[in-house]
Amino acid sequence: MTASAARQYFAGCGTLFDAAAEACSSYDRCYTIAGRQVVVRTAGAELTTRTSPALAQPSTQQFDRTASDLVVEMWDSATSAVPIGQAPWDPDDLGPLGLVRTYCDDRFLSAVDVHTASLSLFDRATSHGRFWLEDARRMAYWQSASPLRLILSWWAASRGMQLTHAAAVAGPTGAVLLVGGAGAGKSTTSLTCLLDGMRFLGDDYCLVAPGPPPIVHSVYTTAKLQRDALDRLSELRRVVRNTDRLHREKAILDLAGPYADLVGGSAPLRAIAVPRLTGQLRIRPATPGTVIRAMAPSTVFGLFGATERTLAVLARLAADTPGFVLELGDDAGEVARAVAALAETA
Amino acid sequence: MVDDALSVRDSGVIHERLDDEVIVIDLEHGMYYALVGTAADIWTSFTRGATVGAVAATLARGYGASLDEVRADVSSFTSQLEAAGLLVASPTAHGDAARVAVHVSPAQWEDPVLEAYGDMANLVISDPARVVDEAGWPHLPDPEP
Repeated sequence: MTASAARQYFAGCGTLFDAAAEACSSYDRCYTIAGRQVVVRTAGAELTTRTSPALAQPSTQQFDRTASDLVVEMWDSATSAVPIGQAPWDPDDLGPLGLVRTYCDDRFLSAVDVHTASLSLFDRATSHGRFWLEDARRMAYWQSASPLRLILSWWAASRGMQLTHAAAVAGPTGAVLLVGGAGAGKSTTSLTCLLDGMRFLGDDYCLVAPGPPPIVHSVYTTAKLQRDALDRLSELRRVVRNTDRLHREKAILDLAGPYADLVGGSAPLRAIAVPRLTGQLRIRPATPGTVIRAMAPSTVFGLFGATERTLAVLARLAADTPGFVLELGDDAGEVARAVAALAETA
Repeated sequence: MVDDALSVRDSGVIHERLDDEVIVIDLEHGMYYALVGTAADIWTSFTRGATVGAVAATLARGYGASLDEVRADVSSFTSQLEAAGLLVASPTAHGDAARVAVHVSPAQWEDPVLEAYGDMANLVISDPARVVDEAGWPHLPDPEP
């Protein structure tokens, strides 16, 4: 496979997006992520409705698409009636995590997400991404809560940043990353802190720019919460998007409305905490090994292997940042105060 | 007994050392591993290719431990790493002890332990051809009511 095949496929998908945008009007929105202008173009209202609440407040200012740091084009075939066509690669070209090995090179990255039946493409040279899925109405709930994850990960890497599987909250002078796999308590802890007045930078994925000091940037203004956790944080019920589907989905919380003043932004990283549900609040130092074990696997696998530098970047972060095991008790106020203290004093 | 050189699989395995711990991620199989202390030192010794004999000799010296004990432990541990597909035959390494890149912790020799975690394995596509249709695209299951 030559590099030109990846280039041709990327260009061909651009033509398909143009056709989709013509078939069902396109919506251009501009977001600020890590201080950079990101333009997301969607063909059809369905995709816009499903993804824009997660990507922070769009900038209200006029924007110049050609001056953006990243442009992503999204479309789906069901809305636009523009089919994706036959995949040009052999099924065996799919890597174990979904990268299309024969369509990835020094410039282009291509991946198929078999869990959501979607395609992500990125051109490092032009900082241009393309995203397709069959039917926007069937977009997985976790995908609409953190859309364009792969493309944002690739873009961030091209800018020296790392999209990281972590929650993050910040106090007046610094941020705490909360790391761990599913069910570790990241979302509950970060939302508890939000309700206690801390800034919410994310509950699932955040951008980290290496330091010193490392800077945590918010990407998404949504959170996902298990039903029992939502019962405990019942104040958040008013921002649940998918109330009618909680019997089979985590609750998706759109925080940018009522909590706009406390959601988004950036802060210098002061500490990394590994939450553990023990029933009694206790904070103890964590070795860098404990931190990297909690942070790296879910980041690497969740981002389709991420990039060749991801593990080294996360290892450096774990080595250079004070790490703690945060044993979680039942008293929400106590947990929030403990995290706030880590953000200020670590 | 032939002591063939072994090295870390260079495709789909990434690893980083932090102090006396190593994290290893096997992207092909959705597994990750934690190696601490002697396990980390054995792993580091094979990153550029080496023989069991050369690694054992160097580590036994570094730890001030019995060569027989260390060699038995290194041999057993590398068998586990080979079984997991993390170490493979290294045609280019010579097994010269001088080539072994060892980071010896100032501690007593202990049985090396391979901590394996499989909670990410569900993200791996074990058989790509099974998840796509004739057009090459995966399909979502039928929606639940």
